[in-house]
Amino acid sequence: MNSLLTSADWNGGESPYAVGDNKLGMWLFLVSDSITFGTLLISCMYARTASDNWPAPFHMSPSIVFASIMTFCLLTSSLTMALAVSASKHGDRAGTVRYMLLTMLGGVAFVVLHAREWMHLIGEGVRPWSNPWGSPLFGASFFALTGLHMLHVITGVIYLGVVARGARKGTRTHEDIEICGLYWHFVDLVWMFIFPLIYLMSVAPK
Amino acid sequence: MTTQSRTYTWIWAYLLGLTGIELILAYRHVFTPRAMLLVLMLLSVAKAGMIMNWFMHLGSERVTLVLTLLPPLILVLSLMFSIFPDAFRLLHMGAHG
Repeated sequence: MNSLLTSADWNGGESPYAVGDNKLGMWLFLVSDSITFGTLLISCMYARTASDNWPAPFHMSPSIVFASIMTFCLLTSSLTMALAVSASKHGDRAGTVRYMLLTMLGGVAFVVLHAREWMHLIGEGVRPWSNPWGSPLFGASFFALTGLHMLHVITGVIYLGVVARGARKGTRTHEDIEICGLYWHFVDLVWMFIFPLIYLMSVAPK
Repeated sequence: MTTQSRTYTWIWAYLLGLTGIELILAYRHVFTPRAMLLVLMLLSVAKAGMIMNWFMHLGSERVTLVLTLLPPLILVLSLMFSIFPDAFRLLHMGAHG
């Protein structure tokens, strides 16, 4: 007769998800972070629906063009991150570090462009509590959402730098790089919702 | 170029293509805002799915992991929409934001 508990169970049992604990931890963090971003996006949409004077200030040039180039930077950095994980899987340490540096470059380009976009809007008089066009909640939700996202990108660049350094020295495992990749792709994924909801839904009428 | 790198590059191209479609729709003001929101969200969910499946390799993880992560997330996010009728109520009250 099989006993219900085996010695393997007493030693921690089997891994039900077949992933390392670090990777599971990152996935759980990403789920909770999705809820944070989801709350902000949905409350922004709520404020927008409830206001009859929600501004649509984004002209094709420069705002939408800038935001599109930013999207391109972030998407491309996701590609280089995927290639870094792939290189690390094949044991190509130099390639991993090179692709991770390219990913960081994409992230930095995104932050620089976004900072310019912020300065442009601040110059036009948008504040978290007021703006020249309509509902003051526009500024609050714009700065909160894009600010939190930018914080994630900046954190991600630092995180990538730390892991890339470890990868170069050989102190980071393949799973560490994969986890770093999960975080970076998530930052890209969130932007795939912020870009249409914040920018493309508020394009100024021609 | 390995097969995997080629897949990544294709996914990247598809993601850029979908973003391009979104831009054209926004530039030409093709839809009413309500229809536009629906189309944009469908495209965004498609893009998110591609990123999760191919870039984050969720498709090749064990199904138990996917079932632990995604359904609760989708449920929580859907529940937040229960406040939406209230937004329409505020709008019809003529409340300014």
